[in-house]
Amino acid sequence: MDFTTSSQVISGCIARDESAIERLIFEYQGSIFRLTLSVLNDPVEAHEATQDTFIAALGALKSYRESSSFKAWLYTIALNVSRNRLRKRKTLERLNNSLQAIFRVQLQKMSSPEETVIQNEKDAALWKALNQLGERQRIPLVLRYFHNLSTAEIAEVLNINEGTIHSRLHIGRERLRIELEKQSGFSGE
Amino acid sequence: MKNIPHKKIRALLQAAADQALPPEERMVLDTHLAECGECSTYAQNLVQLQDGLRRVMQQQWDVRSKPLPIEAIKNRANRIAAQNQVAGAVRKFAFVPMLAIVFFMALSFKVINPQQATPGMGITSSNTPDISLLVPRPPVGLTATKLLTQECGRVTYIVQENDTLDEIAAKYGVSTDAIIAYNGLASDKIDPQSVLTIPFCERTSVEATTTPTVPNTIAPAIGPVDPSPRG
Repeated sequence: MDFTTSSQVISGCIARDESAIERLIFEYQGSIFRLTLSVLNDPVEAHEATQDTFIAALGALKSYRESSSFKAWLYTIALNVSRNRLRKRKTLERLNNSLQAIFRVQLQKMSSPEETVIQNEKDAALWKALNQLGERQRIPLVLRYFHNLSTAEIAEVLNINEGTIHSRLHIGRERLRIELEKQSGFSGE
Repeated sequence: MKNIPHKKIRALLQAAADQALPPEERMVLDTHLAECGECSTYAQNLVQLQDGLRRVMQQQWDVRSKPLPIEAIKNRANRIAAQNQVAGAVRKFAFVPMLAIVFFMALSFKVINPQQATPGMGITSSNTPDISLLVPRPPVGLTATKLLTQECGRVTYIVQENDTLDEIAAKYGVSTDAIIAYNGLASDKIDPQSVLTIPFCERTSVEATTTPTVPNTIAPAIGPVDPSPRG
């Protein structure tokens, strides 16, 4: 994984050079969109979160230090933006539920992560189990297996100890395995 | 090799999945897996799980991003940067009004304080050390006199018929000049029923500095610390 960017582009962005900003966005928009999508699980929201990420990054570019890799820095911003949106969504959902409970009205159903395009039954079960994991285990797993980051890179992006990442991946995989075993046991009998 | 617990092997397998297994433990793991059926099933499951995770996520998130509105991003970023510049400038020069406020507060404090110490009086000798309060750091000797005047014990005296200033001064053991100065009197003539403030603190300090005037006063009645001519 190429984790370097020419510092010329960055200094160009700080100096508000239009072409440098364009280059930066073109270079990273794909991976940032993939990241926000994998956290938010909703293409429309991911698209908005990608924009927010670039806006926040361009505003905070002065505080970026060369000591860390630029991509990890950008990923951290994208993750923070996505998590904020996730939190807002949860609040909204809770509000929605309580409104439904109070007024007994059926409001528009929100997009749920369990909607899936996966046909294979086993994979669908895995997908469901993955979404039932807490953020703590889910995000490291997503970064590891969807974005192909190493544990060191995940630790840098999440700003957590590498050992913690190891244990979270371990716990996440173990939970998924147990969940799948349970399901296959049920369907087998 | 048989006696390695399965739990330990599972932990090793998990570490191997993250490429965090040292080579020497790798050998231990491989030899164990060759012998132990249960653990090799676990290893296979783990590999399958990882493949499954990769596959599922690829399938689910195989969405291409719509092109980003680059102009809008630039505009918003520029606007935020402009706001930040204004905020930064405000923060940079905030100390000027702060300094002014602190200065005025200090000034008003100094102005109010002497009024509290000596209410309703004109230009007197005790004003001089109060002005020295404005000087940042007075020498040690000054601080002592300042304290004396600040904690000046006072008594108000209503002038009776046939009272003279010298008598009053002698009664309280205070010099005549001090009473004149303290009450802002024009001369040593006093009217009956007028109110005088007798500054007790002038008793020691003034007498110490103005000893030549002491013999002029009438022999003190009660002044305990008075270095009287009789003594």
